[in-house]
Amino acid sequence: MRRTHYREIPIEARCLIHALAWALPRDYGDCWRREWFGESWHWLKQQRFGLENIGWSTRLRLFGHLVGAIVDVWFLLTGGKLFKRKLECIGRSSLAPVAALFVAVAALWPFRVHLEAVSPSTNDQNAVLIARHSPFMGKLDRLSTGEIKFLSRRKDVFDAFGTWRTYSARLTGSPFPVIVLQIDPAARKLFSLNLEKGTWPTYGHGCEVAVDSSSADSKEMLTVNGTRCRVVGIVSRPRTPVPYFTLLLSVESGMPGVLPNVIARLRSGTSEGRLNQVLDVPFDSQRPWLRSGRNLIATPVKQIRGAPFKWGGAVFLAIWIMTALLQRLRSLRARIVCSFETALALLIVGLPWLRCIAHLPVLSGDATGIITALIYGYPVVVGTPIALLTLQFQKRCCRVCHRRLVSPIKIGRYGSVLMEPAATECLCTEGHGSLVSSTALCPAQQWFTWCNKWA
Amino acid sequence: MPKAANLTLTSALILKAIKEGYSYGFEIMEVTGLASGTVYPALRRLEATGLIKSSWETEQDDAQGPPRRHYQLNNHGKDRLNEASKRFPVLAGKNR
Repeated sequence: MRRTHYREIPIEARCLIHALAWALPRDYGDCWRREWFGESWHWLKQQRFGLENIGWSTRLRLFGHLVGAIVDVWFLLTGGKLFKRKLECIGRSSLAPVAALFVAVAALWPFRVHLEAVSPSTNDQNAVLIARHSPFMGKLDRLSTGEIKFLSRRKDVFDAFGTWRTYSARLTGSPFPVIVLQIDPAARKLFSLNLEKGTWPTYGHGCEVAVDSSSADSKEMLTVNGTRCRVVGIVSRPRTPVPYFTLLLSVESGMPGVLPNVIARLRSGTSEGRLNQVLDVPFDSQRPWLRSGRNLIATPVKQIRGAPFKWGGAVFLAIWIMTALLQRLRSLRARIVCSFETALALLIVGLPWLRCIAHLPVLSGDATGIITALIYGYPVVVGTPIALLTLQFQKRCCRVCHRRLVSPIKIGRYGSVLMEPAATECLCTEGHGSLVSSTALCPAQQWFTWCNKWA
Repeated sequence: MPKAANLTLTSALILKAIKEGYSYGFEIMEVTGLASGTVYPALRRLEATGLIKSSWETEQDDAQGPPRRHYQLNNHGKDRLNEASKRFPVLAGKNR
């Protein structure tokens, strides 16, 4: 192309063509640039006899044509591979990752008791959470009173043994609920009771009773939900969006009612075999039909603490693999789309949920109510509309090339309601769509015959 | 020989336009009413599947402007267009 011709094309068009040509391999890019320059020049020449004064309307129209050059380059870069199978079509949508997320959440459900043991004040050193492995769907359950009593007597294995539970409570004079981590006196060794005196006046909203009780030396008791307790610590969580904190309480006289969680610290040098031998409880007064010994398991708190991140990574990987299998990762485009949709699904549904899971120790247990319901119902509440929107998107999407279905076509006739009811069907810009095959694929002669019938 | 493409309405329309003598990209756009983002990828695909072939105009003098790439239908493309014309009666219109 000669230099004079080159200059006659508007500069914005030239810049766009050059920029796009750089994206292509050099040998093909030169050819591609030459083609688009040639087409643009001749088109401009056709619009006006002289190229000296090109109006803005012509420039805009040319630029509109050149938008197609972007699509052309994208097509060439990706090899022009379009998704032609229905499974791949579904895989490209956000439905697959969301469905995979539901599966992953359902799979993780039994592990929620493990996550409850993660408390910011738990002393990790040799600490283990003891729970019952229920025969029903692998659910982890809490121990019975008989088992707790039995295990607490095994001083040769457990250096400390205690119970704890979490719930939300409202203190006198404070408008906001606090999250209570309630421990029995025996479990005090297992929690790092760091008193943060400055925390309570900041977040306690001037509750005088609580201020007086926030010292470990204070003998004042606090009535929480009808139980006389002593405040032994306050743990703030400043990084959370809502400035809540955990109020560590110690109760003097056990915790009737709901069975608490069990945490224990092993004596140094205790082997795993010895621990398993101890966990082989000879009887269970509440569930005599269970041979409970083999159902008790101990999990180190250190291992549990990183669980949300590990499971978050596992969920991401699972979704990615499922989506990748659907798309078969034939091209770079497929890989990018797969990663993007996985990340999007996690961001929309998974990340807030995992964040809530990280705070589960203080919001689970007895803290039933709307907060817990929202946490557990979040994937359903948010995931369902996303799934429905995706389905709606799929309805308006070409099954072959994934383009938007447009160009509505009236088919059938209003008089023939039963045999061939009147309806509107759509085509995509490639000519695919949901046209009835008997109409679209019939020989031309027959088609015209039918047309006459409709007329 | 690449695998034969399953001709869509758009592809058939473009083949029809080429057969009628509109052999340049922008011309095909104007005569079919399709967007450039549809026409050019379709031309690439049709060329890759061996239904059309492209060649460059010979270098002209300054007044004629830069050379353009023009597309032509080959025999295989003609056969496929005939098949498509039966499927899409809208293509069976009057010739130019």
